[in-house]
Amino acid sequence: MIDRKDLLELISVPFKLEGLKPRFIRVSSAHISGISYNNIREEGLELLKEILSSGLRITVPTTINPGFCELEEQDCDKETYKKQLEIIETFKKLGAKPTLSCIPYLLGNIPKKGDHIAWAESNAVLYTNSVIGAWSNKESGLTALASAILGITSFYGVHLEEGRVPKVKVNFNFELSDEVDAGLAGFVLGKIVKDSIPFVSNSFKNRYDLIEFLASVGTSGVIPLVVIEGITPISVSKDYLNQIQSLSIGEEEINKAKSSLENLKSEEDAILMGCPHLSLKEVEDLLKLNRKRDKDIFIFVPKEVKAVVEKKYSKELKDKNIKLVSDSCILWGGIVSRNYRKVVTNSVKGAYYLRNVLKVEVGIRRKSEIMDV
Amino acid sequence: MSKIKKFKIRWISFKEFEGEVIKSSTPISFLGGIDPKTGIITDSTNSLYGKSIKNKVLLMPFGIGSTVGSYIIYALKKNLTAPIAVITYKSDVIVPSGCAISRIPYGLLSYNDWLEIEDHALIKTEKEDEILVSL
Repeated sequence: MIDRKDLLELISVPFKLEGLKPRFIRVSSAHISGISYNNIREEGLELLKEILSSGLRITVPTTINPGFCELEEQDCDKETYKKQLEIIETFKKLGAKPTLSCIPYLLGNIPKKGDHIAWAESNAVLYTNSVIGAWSNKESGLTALASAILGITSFYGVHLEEGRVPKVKVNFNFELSDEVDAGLAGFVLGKIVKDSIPFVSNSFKNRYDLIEFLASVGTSGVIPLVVIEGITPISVSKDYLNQIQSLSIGEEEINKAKSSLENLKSEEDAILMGCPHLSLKEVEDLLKLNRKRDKDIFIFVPKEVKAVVEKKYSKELKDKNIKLVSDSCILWGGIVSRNYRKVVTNSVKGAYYLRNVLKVEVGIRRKSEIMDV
Repeated sequence: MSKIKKFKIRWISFKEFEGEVIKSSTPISFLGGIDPKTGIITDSTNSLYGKSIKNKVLLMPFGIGSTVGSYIIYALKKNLTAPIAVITYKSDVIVPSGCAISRIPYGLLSYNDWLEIEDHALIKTEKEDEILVSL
């Protein structure tokens, strides 16, 4: 039996650890991570079922992250598929919208500037704080679910104006020429700034590169927000920026990060793109290009994007041997069931987790190395 | 004759208890490090390898590893293999959350106080911010 008091105790943890009286604020939405059976396992599923059978229900608009399998294709082993379905059914009964996507900020759960929200999934938290200006701390799957039920979150961190003030300026001493450069820069930045909110200039060529940058910050770091000049709706004076600590990231650091993330020793079995999930625009951009490498390409997308693209571009998908996968994270059961041991991806976050969670050999390849740009 | 000493402590999910300490000198990952069915430490690199944390006061530096560790703590509680309480000198994102949802008292001690408490010591809650320890 789990009751509201237990959930309140859970979201009070940051205050109680400091010996402070907890303070809360209402949230207008929630987004929950920890959906994949490969991640939360039997113990996670049991806890979700316990929350459901205790009679607790979600009270604010709530979406959920991708799982481990594509539901229609049933592309993982039978037992895992059954458990994955059970997790999703439990979330539906709790009252979540089964979006199974990690880009709720583009599709399915778009917050407004100034909203207070309780989101898990670090890439989504970084995007909503840094681009939209709707505020969320980096919640865990459990605390986001608790807030979805209670309708409140702990009032600390970026929910407070003083928690959104940048404390360190980070300069890039090289051109972020594509999504991999942006991803690697984010990966290095997340590590070096520790828990200080950074300020960076807008060095990104397009939205895709920006998303890859933020996703990598969330992978290597703890910060929920990067203040980006001209993008983040937070004003910082020039005088203030001249006073704070300044750090630099150069080409040498990102090359070092790249080689520390890669361990591919021979040719790959498959190419994986879409970590975070690609939106319709990004898939359309890709389909205009011819492919360079002769391996299966899998692109991870929300199911709404898959439906549109498969209808509109069936010929291109077939000719280019590109498969869209929905409902699933890039940490995908299909990699295991197909016995792929070696993969390449253009996502730095994807590379990190593919290597460390699925234990496959990983190479990082730019979109320009995969497709003829 | 053992000496009794008082220590200041900060609690999540406080309730009164009394129990024997099992102390790990190294951080523990609940995912992969402890079998939720038995409460036995399965991490072969841990000094408590093969021992059970069931009904003990688990003293450890802090939690490490996957955040799924929070769910493992709940599974331990449900399987009746959980520790009576968990006490660390540093907090992390896994153990306090897991304890909060599982109604297992989680205490935060200063590093020096944590060092003073040894394996097999007896701990009893005194006031909400104080424990009595037999040294």
